[in-house]
Amino acid sequence: MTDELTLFRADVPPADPVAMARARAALVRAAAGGSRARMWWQVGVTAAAVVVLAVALLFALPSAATRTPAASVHGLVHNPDGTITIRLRELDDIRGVNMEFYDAGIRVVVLDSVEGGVVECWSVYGVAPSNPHGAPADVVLPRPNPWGDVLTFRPDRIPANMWLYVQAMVESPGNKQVRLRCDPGQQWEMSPYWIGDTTPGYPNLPPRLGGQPSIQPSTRPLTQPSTQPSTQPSPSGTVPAGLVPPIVTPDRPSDQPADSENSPEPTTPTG
Amino acid sequence: MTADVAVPTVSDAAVIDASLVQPAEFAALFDRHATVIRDYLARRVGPQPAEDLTGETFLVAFSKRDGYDLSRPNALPWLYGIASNLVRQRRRAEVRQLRALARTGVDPVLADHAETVSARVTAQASTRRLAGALAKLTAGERDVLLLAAWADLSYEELAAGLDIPLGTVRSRLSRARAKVRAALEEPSDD
Repeated sequence: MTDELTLFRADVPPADPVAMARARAALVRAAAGGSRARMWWQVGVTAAAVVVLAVALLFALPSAATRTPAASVHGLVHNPDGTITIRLRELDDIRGVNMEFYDAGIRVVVLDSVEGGVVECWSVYGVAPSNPHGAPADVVLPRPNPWGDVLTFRPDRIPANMWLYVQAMVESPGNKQVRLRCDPGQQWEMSPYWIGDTTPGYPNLPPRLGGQPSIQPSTRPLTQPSTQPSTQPSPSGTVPAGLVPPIVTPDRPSDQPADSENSPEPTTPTG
Repeated sequence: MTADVAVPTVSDAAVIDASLVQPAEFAALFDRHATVIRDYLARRVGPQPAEDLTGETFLVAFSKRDGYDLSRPNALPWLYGIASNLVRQRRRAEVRQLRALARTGVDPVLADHAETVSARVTAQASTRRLAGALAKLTAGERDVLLLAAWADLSYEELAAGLDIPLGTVRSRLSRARAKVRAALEEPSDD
């Protein structure tokens, strides 16, 4: 009987990392609320800090009202030119950032930051199926140069059960931002930029992918990610050799099909 | 490559104690145990409800942390108990899933997982009988049996986690095992 029960449980599919991140973010929010309730004096300090920050943002981003129509609390902004800009200055809630990725339909999971602070750049950590530990099962790329990392991939070629894991790198505080941009139907690129960088945006459209039930696993190979720094969208397929990530499929045993005979449905009420 | 699992350096009780002063510390408990709680819930109510209930489990735990017995270093039985109580609120859905599996052989839990549905569309006969037997148990019997089998909790931990007397744990487990064993030993109708 124990064996049957054990096997019965072993069939459970792995957790959705974004859903788990969402659950953790809710807990963090609750904890923050409890903290404020216990230490009422912090409310005043927090409010003052918010006012100062808001004033600073007004000066730092004078045109925010015209170019950030869909700003969010975690800084994921849909720009009018179709690009998505992500500022990750508050890495104490990286799950919240992931939640925003999810809501934006981006199949990316940002792992915990190395240290507290701001994101300086991201590196590709791996394309892997979600697993019970919530960490990448396979690292398909070595950690690239922390400067000027550019990640290129086709979101429509990431199988539905796989996620792109990105490790946030923290090196020093400062005003940095990460810009995620994409070419419609072609490729996505993610690279770090300084705030105020004059690199022009690209008129791309952010697709709605992650979390949509219409995503189907693809049998096509993944586009090879590039580790070359770039400020221009890389042409599809122009990537260094030897960096082709294998598609990792979940290793799940399959049972022999049982008879399809229907047995009488039990009607005993449960307590 | 296997995933790295961080080894806790302080006990769960210490984390909970610290969270009474610094509530954000409680997130460490989520990092340690959320996966196993979610997997337990996923088998009982399905993957998507399980992820919701996992979050709810930790929110309930957070709200009740000041009542946690700090002499118990491992909080997992406590979390399992909260999760099981939440499952009871979805008892009808759980029983419905078990009955469906017993009747049709199609596992509703796996049916939501697109990558496995084609390979595992039907369950083995023994699994179907097990599901039928589990559906016939009372909620209390099911809690004790599944926690004993899946969470590997001792009688004492089961009693503490489910907040029931030790004798009740023993009697429920005995009854549940007898019922399930009898169901599994029934001759197959296939």
